[in-house]
Amino acid sequence: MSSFVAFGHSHVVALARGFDEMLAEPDHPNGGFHYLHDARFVPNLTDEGGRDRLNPDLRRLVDEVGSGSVILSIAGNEHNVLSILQTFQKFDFVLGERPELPLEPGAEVFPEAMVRETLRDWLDDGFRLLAAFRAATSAPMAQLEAPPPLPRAHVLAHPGELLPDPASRDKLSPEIFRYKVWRVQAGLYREVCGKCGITYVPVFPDMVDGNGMLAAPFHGKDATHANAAFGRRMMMEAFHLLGTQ
Amino acid sequence: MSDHPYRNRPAWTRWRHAVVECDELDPMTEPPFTFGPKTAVVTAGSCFAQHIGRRLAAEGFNYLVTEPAHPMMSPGAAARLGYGIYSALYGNIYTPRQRVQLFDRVYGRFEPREDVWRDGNGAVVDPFRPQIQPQGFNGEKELALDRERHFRAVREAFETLDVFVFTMGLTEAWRSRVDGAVFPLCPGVAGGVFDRKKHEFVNFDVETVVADTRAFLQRLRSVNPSAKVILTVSPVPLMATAEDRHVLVSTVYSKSVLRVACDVLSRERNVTYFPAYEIVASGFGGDYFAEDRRSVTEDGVDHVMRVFSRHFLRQSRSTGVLQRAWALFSEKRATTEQKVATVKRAVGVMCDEEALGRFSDAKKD
Repeated sequence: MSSFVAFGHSHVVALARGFDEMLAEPDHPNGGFHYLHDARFVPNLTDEGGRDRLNPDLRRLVDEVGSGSVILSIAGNEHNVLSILQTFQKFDFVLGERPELPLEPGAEVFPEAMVRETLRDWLDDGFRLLAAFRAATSAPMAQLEAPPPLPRAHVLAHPGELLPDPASRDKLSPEIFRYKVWRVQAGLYREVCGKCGITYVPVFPDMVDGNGMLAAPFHGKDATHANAAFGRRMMMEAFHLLGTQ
Repeated sequence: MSDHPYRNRPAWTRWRHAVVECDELDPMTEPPFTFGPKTAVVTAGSCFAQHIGRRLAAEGFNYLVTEPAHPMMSPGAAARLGYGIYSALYGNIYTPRQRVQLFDRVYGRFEPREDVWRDGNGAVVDPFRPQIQPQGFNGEKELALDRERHFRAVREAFETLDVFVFTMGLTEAWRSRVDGAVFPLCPGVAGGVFDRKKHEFVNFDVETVVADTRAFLQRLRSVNPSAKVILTVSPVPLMATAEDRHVLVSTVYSKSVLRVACDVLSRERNVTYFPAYEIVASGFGGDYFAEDRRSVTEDGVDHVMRVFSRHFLRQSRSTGVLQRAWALFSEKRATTEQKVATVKRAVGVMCDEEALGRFSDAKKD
């Protein structure tokens, strides 16, 4: 019997790769990873009498873990969608947990609530999915924090379709702003996980560099994802917190 | 038969014609001014005032909002945070004293000593807009910056409006014994701590309501000489009274004071009274109170706005004007939504490629 099962969107890849590195070690937990956009899991939620229920294939996998743990990496890139490019009229906000961080000169200052409530709406599907996982089992369950934003140099080196032309490179938001939005998203996840009874696993302090960006040893291959080293540390922490044997 | 003053009077002076035999109660007579779709209209007041702005915007009139939501905000977030309910994020302004106080504050003439509250969770609350942020401000720095932005928006509203619609709601208020600052809610209700040594109850009388409104009109005209004002009285009864008497008795007192004050004030230049109160609360227009006997039903709001439109709004707006206004609004929102969608797509592609490297059955978005 698996001792854990993991589900997630794209950030689950780093977790899976990180776990792959643990396979050579003795006494590693047993478990598998599942991508929520996999065709058999879509839609992730079904409506049963007005209530969200997990897709039957997801439910089966959750049931199979029995007394094991459920590890989640649901959504999490929304902070990047909101913050990575200054395509709107430039704005900034005071981050409540770090009010000393500077504001962008010339930006219109709005309350943090504006970012928080917009992200809350954008993450609604993800939060409903978290609640549905929680409702499906009483097994120990954790949601792992999405990695922080990646530094400007790394984004410029791996722009993908985000920066299709040189002119768009000027639109990349300041790192401090992107850090702030990531922190607001983290606060929302903490709030929702707290209400659901899901353990929230934050990233480690050494994974965040002095500018609030993902530290170099943990950079993934593109502008928004982390690597296996990140995944491994996060999985180990999840196992520790959930008592996964 | 000899002549007398009641002979040959208009039909609306006779109860039988104007109330009993009318198709729909319309207590408004000819207003001293009307306005068209380009007229910049600002609204403020008690909760009933929210309906007026909402309806004006829906009908394509120039409902001036000087403190709009940022275009990237989700509509749900904008609604939860109160954007667009009034022309600026001042929240409910229940008394004329609060209105003149707001003017003095935004122009730097009055700085209340008690300008920060904490709620039960320790969050920072603006004593003069205690419910403007659902979870409070995240700190005094955020409140200070937001207040600066808000004051700019209110000044812009006062200076650029053509018509100001103010709905008076209450005569009862709580004020500071220290400097006379009036709070929209009693300290302790939505933040702050009630202290009898610092806070006192006041129930404004007609003379004070008239004086406060005249003071406001004078100030408004100092920054906007041609501003026109429409006064209304909210039909919504008091939720509670601090007087030692029945709440219905207090309600009738308050509404009576406000109504009499409006009558006096409507004789001022470019000031008029709109009888929303009579339409809803008299009972002669229909039963427009919901089950709680306080909230006004949508039918009641519809009736009020039909009468308002009929008398104040020049219906000569062209389809082109409406379409241009709507197009501008839609274009801004559509442009922003397009930009968000473009970024979402680009990030989505990264997510798909990340997953495809690991999960070979991954469904492409």
